[in-house]
Amino acid sequence: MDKTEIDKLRKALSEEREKRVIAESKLEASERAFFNAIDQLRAEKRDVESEFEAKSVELEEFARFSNQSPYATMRISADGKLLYSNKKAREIVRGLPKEAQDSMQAAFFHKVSDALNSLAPVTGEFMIAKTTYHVTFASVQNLGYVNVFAVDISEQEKLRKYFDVLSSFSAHLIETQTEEDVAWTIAQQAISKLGYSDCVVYLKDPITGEFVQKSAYGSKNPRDLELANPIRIQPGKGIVGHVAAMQAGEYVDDVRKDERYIPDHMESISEICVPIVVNGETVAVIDSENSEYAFYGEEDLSILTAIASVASSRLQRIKAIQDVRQEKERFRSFVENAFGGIYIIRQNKFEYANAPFFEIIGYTEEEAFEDSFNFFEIITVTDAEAIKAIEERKSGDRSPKSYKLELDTKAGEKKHLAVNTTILEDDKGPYTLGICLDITFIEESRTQLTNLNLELEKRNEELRQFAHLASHNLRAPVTNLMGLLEHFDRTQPGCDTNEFIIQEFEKSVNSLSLTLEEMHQVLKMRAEKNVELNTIKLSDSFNQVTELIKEQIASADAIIFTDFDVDEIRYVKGHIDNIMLNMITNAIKYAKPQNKPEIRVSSALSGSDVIISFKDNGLGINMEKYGDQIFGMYKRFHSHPDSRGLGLYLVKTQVEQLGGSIEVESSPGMGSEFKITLRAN
Amino acid sequence: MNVLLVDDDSTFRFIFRKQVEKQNGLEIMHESEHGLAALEYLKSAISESKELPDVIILDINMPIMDGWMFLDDYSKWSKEAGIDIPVCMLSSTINQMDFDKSKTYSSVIDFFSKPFSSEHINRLLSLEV
Repeated sequence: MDKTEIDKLRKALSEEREKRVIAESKLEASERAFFNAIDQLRAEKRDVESEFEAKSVELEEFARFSNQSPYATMRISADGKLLYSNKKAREIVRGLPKEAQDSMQAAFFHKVSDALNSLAPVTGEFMIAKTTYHVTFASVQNLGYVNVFAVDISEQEKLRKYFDVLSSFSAHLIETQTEEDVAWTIAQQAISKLGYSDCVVYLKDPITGEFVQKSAYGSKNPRDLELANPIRIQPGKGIVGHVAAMQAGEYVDDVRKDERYIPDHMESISEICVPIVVNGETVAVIDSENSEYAFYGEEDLSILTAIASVASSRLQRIKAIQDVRQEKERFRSFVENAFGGIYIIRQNKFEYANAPFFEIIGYTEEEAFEDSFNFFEIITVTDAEAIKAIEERKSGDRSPKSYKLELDTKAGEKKHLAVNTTILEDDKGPYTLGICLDITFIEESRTQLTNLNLELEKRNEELRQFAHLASHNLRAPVTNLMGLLEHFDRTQPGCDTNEFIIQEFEKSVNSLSLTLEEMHQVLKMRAEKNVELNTIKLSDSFNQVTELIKEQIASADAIIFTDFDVDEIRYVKGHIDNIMLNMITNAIKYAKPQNKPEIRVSSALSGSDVIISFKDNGLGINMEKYGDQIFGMYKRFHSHPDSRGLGLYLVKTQVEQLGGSIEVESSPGMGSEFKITLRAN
Repeated sequence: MNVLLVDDDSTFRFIFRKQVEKQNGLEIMHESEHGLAALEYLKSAISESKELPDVIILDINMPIMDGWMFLDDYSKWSKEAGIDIPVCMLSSTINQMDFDKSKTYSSVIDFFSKPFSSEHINRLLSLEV
């Protein structure tokens, strides 16, 4: 055996020794615990024995005590023999039928055996002749019998049951959401908790006043919760109707003897009806029938009345919830379907807004509710009324305000709003309630109408002027003709005066004809609507016009310079020709008598517009005096035989017809420059 | 009664002359083609201490200075010059606005509508200006 093996053995040995020490100490501890337990048990046994000894009294003593007790007492032996019963106990037993006595005896014997095998008394509840007793069986072991005490607990039991039923009803009713729910819960609970064979709940039809069967449990509705053909009871008819009218519950022992009873197919003998009254109005009736005579009593009436009262408050609450819900729904639907936008703003943030509002502002609900969105940033206020109202708001004015706003929608569209705001306050503080209408269409129509009206007024005024001038210019030569005719000497046809009169006659007739022609021109131009645009060259037009009036140019010894920076334009050929003709002939007509007329015709681009300029070295015009009349009809500023005062009026009208304009720079003796701006077409 | 006739229409001036020739009581002192010429005539008459007309017969529609402009200038000038020659309008207008406008000038005493007739001359003579 080598050293290592010895060491192994030694080690094993010492381990073995340690284990034994631990086991011995454990054994010692459990022995101690055991003896302690025995001591304990002995002590307890002594206590129990002394208690039993104390309770063990002689039969005589027990009897004397029992006869004075208000409780029923008995002493029953271990083999079930009745050793003693007091007067109270004897009375109870004597009233019982034989079978009941037997079954009671059997039940008692069972408890007696239990009590004999138990250290503590055994108890139980027994229903004896519709009365509930709490019975205590106390054994006295060494004497071999059991003392029995029976206490009548019917009242407590009734109360307990009453509260049990009521709390069960209440617990179920609290879950109900509709009147129908309430009806079904009552009927179902009446069956399960009150032990009724049938229960019906009638609800008042608010329109007809009839009581309509809403729920039925038991024999009247054997299948399911559906009522195929509900019973309808006229107010005041039958026991149900009567109870509803009297607003007091009632039970009937024998319906066959009650003339109010409306017979139906059920074989009912007794019935109970209890009304449910809400705010002084009978809204429902609980009704139960039974085939037993006098099945219902005061107890039923009292519990059903209590249930009816619970149901009443529940119905009231349901009605209130429904009212609130309906009110809310009505309000929501009103707001959502409102013609205009409705919004609530609190501290510059949207709290609520309806769909029409988002439609108006052109932002979605999500966009408008973002923190970065500020309603006031998209608003442009131009209306003086609005600025005033907003200022008043800032100074704390909370009264309702109506004004107009403009805003830019997300798409950049301009919209006109008619707004009405009011400051209201709730528990979260003040807020703005706003109502707005999109009046863009109205505003735009109004603007259009105003513009149209202005245009019409302008046209009207022009026409009026035209009519006056035309009539004047027609009347003048006609009156001349009349005057000349008056002085014509018929007696001397060939005299000098008559010759002169004939000459003057010709002048007047020519003037008349010219005026008529001009009127025709003006009217024709005014009536022109769809003018045809062509690509034309200013130089071409210039050449044609100067060719036409070459004799006039030659006789005036006029020099015309051209500088067409822009030559090709899209315009109406006739208009350009007319402009050229009028402006050049005007410049020649109104030249200084001693000077050679010099005319510069040029064109240039200004943005997309073309400007044609006619600059001369002629007489010039006193702009201060006549500036506003230059382009008027039949306005002449020079005494010139050919001047008729229509040319510039025609040019201006034609230029403006296509969106252009004409302006003049001039001063007396310094020549004139007419600038005609033609809109790019 | 001496008149200053202001009208640009030579045909009408001829008719006016013919009518005056036929009737007694009127003398055409001077004819002007427009308001400015008439004003210049009056001014020179004063500076040369010549006789002034008793009445001015004034057309409305004229070049350079029409009847209204003449009335504007004449009203101002006549006050400064201390003269008071009445003006009688004579126009082919039948525009009510022209009648109304003429009434705003204190120097305008009557308004004749063309055609010019002997009746107009009688009315002028009866004015006893």
